[in-house]
Amino acid sequence: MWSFWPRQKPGLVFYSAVSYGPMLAQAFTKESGIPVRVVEMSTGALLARVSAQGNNPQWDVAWFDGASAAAGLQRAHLVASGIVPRDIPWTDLGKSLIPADGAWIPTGYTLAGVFLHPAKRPAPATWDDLLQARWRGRFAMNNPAISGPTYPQVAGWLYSHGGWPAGQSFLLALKANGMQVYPKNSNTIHALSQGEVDLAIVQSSAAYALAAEQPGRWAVSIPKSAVLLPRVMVFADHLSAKQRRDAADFARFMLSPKAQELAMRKGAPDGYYWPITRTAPTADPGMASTQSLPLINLDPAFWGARESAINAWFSSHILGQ
Amino acid sequence: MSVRRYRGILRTLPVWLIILIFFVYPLGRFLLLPWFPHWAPESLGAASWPSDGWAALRNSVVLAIAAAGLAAALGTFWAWAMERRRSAWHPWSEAVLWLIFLMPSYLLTTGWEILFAAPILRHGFLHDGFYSPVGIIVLLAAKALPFAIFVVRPLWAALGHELTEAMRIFAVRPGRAVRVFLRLAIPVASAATVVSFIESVQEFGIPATLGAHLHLPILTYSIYAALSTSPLNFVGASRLALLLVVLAFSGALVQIALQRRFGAVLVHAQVRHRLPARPKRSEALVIAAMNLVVGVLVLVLPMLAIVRSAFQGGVSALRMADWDPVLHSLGFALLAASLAILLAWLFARSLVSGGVGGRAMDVFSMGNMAVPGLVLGAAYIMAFNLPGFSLYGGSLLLILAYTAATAPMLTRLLQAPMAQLDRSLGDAARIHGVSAWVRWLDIDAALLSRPLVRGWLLAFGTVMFELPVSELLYPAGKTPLGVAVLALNNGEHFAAAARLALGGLASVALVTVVVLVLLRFALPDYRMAVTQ
Repeated sequence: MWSFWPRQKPGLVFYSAVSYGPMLAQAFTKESGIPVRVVEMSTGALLARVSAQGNNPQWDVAWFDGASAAAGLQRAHLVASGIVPRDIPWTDLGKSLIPADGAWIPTGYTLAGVFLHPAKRPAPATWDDLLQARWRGRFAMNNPAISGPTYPQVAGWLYSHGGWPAGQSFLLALKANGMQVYPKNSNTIHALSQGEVDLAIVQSSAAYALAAEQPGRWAVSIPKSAVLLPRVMVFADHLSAKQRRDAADFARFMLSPKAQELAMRKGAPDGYYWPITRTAPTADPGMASTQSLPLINLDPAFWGARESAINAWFSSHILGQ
Repeated sequence: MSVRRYRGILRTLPVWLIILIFFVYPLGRFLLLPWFPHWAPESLGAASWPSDGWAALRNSVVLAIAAAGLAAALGTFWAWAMERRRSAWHPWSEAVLWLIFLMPSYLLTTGWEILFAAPILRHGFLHDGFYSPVGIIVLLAAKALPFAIFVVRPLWAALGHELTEAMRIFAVRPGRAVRVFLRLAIPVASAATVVSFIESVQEFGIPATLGAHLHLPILTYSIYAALSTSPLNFVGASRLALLLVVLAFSGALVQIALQRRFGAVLVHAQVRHRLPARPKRSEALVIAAMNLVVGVLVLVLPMLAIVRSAFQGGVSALRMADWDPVLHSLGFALLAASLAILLAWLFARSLVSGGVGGRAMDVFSMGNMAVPGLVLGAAYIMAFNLPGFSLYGGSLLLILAYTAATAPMLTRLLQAPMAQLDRSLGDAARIHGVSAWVRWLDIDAALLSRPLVRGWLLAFGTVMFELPVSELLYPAGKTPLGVAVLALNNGEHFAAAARLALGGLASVALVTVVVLVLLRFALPDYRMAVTQ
C-alpha cells in the first residue's frame, strides 16, 4: 500500500545512513512484528533532512556515524533524551561513549580516517608524516562539509595540534603539501583507483570494505593517533509512549548478538566496525586490533558546537572557495 | 463587467487557485528567503552564502556557454541538413535526437564511466579529457543538442528559398554568398545558443555525477548540496536558486529579443516552400559522419556499456528487492503523468482562450520553464512541512512536485493542438443538448488524443528517470529509480546501477507499447486521430 501522507502507517520510520540498517530493520520486523519503513541516505543528507523537518518531524529513529552530529541535533532540540537501554552489557569503551543525558545510543565505532593505499607501497606511520616531500600532492581526503564522517577527522587533527584555532597550522601545512580534497568517500577512492593520488584518507569501514573487495590490490594502515568515530542511534523528540517502546525494542535488537553478527558478516561496507558490547562477536579478522593503539575520543559537545565554523574555515582556507 | 465575463473568470478560478497553491506560494516562499530568512526551517546554524557559491556561479556560466556554443554550432548545421537537404539519414537523425532528449543525463555519464573503468581506457588522453571540465562540456552539449535542433528546425523550415535563388540568378560570388548565408544563420544559431545555454545551466544529472567526481562546484549541484548536507542552508540555496532562475530567465529574454529582431527576416509572408535539395557529395559525407559520430558516441557506446555491465555476474546477480526502485518510479510516473496531462489540458485551455487570463497563462507557462525541478523541489520542502498541513515525507508531495515540474512543458506542447480546435464544434454540440462530459469525450478527447497521449508518454518517461525533485522529496521506503541509480553510481556499483537503469528503460518501453496498442484497439476514434 502507498502512504500518500507522511504519518499514516503504524510502526517506525527509520532514517539509516548505515549500510546494514535496512537489512537489520527487516530482521527486526520479522522478529517483533513491528513494521519499519526505511529511508537510506548518507549521514550528511540524513542530518539535513532531519533538520529540514525541524519541529514537524516525519522520522522516528535515525542511525548514523558521529556523536558530534548527534550533539548538534540535540542542541537544536530535535532529539529525545534518556533513550539509552539499561540492560546492555557495554564494554568499558562502550560505557565511555554514552552521553550524560542519554540523548544517543552508541552501537559500535569505526575510525574517522585511516590510510588506504596500494598494497605494494608503504603508508606513513603518523599524520605528521604526510608533511614529508614524498607525499607532496599525492594524498587525498573528503570535504568535511559534504562527507559527514570527515568532520571528526578534521577535528581530531585540530585537537592533536593545539586545539581550535591553534591547530589550523597543521591543516594549512597539509594544504601546502598538496593535499587533494574530494566531496565524499566514493570520489576520493575513485581518485585513488584512477592513480591521481597514492593515498586516500577515508573512514576505516570504507577502506576495509574496498580492501576486502579487491584483495591484494589495496591495504589499510591505521595511523597514530586515529580518531574514534562512534556509530549512534537517536530518537525523534515527538514519539508517543508506544512508539518510544517500539524504538527502544528496535535499539535493543540492534545491539543484540544476533543483529551484530548479521551486521558484521553481511553488512558491508559499514559492517567493518568494532563492537562495544561484551556479547557481540569479534570484528572481522581482516581488521587491525585497536586495543593497543592510542585513539582520540573527541568531546562531541565541544567539537559539535564548532562544526559550522570549522567547516566554513576549511572551505575558505583549505579549499579556497 | 458583464455576467458572461464574470462567469469566464469564475470558470478559470480553480486553475489560478492551483497555480497559486502549487507554484506561486512555494516558489515565492523559497525565492524570497534572502529577504525573509526567518521563514526558513530551524537550521543547524548555517551561513547564508554557500562557501562554493561564487565558484559554482562562475563554473556554471563558463561551462554552459561552452556547451551552448558547441551544441548550437552542431545543432544549427544538423537542423539545416534535416530541413534543407534530402538525406537517407533523416529517420536515424530523428530517432537519435529523440533518444538523446529522453535519455537521463546521469545515465549518459554512467555509461561513459563504465567505459572508462575498462583497463584499456583507464589511462590516456581520452580518459583524462573525460574526467575534466571538457568532459562535462561535451556531455552538456550532447544533452542540449536536441533542444537546439527542435528550436532551430522550424526556423530553417520557414526560411524561404528566394534568397538562394536570387543569388544564383545574379551570380553572386561564393564569398558573398557565404556571408549572406551566415547573415541568415546567425539569428538561427543565436536561438540555438540561447536554448542550449538555458538547458545546460539548469542541468543537474551531469553535475551530480561527473561534476562531483571532479570536485567542480556547479550551481545546480551546489543548491542541492546546500539542502542535503549538514549544516542545512536554506537561505544560501535560495540565493543560488535566484541566480539560476535569473540566468535562465535572462536567456529566455534574449531569445525573445532575438526572435523580435530577426523574426521578419526568418519568417515572412512571401515564403515559397519546395522540396529539400539533394546534398552534394561533400555535404552528404559530412551529414553521414555527423550522424554516425553523434549517434555512436552519445547513444550506442554508453548504452552498450550499460547493457554489458548489467549482465556482469549473470542473471543470478538479479534479486527481486533490487527492482523496488523501478516499481516505485513506475507507480509515481503513472500517477504524476496522468495528473500532469490533466493539469496541462486545463492550463492550455486557459492559454488559448485569449484575453488577460490567456496572456497571464502564457507568461506563467514560459516563466515556469525557467524554474528547474530542483528549485521547485526545494520550495516544496519548505512550503508543505507545516504542522496540520504536512505533506513532506509522503508520496503525495513527490507526485505533486513531479506534476508541477512537467505540467508547464506539457502546456506548451498542447497549446498548438488546442488552438486548432474549432469552437463551432462545441457550440453545435451544445445547441443539440450534448452534455459537457460527452462533449469533452467526443470532441476534445477524440481530436486531442494524439497530442494528449504523446504528452502523457513524455511526462511518464520524464518522471520515471527524474532526479532532482526525487532526491529532495522521496518518501520513506519508496526510493525512486533516479535516486537509486545515482547512489549506486557514486558508490561505483556500476553493474547494479546499469541493471536498474535497464529495468527502467524496459518499463518505459513496455508502457509506451501497451498505451499505444490499447488506444488503437480500444478507442475506434483514436486510429482516425493518430493518422489524421
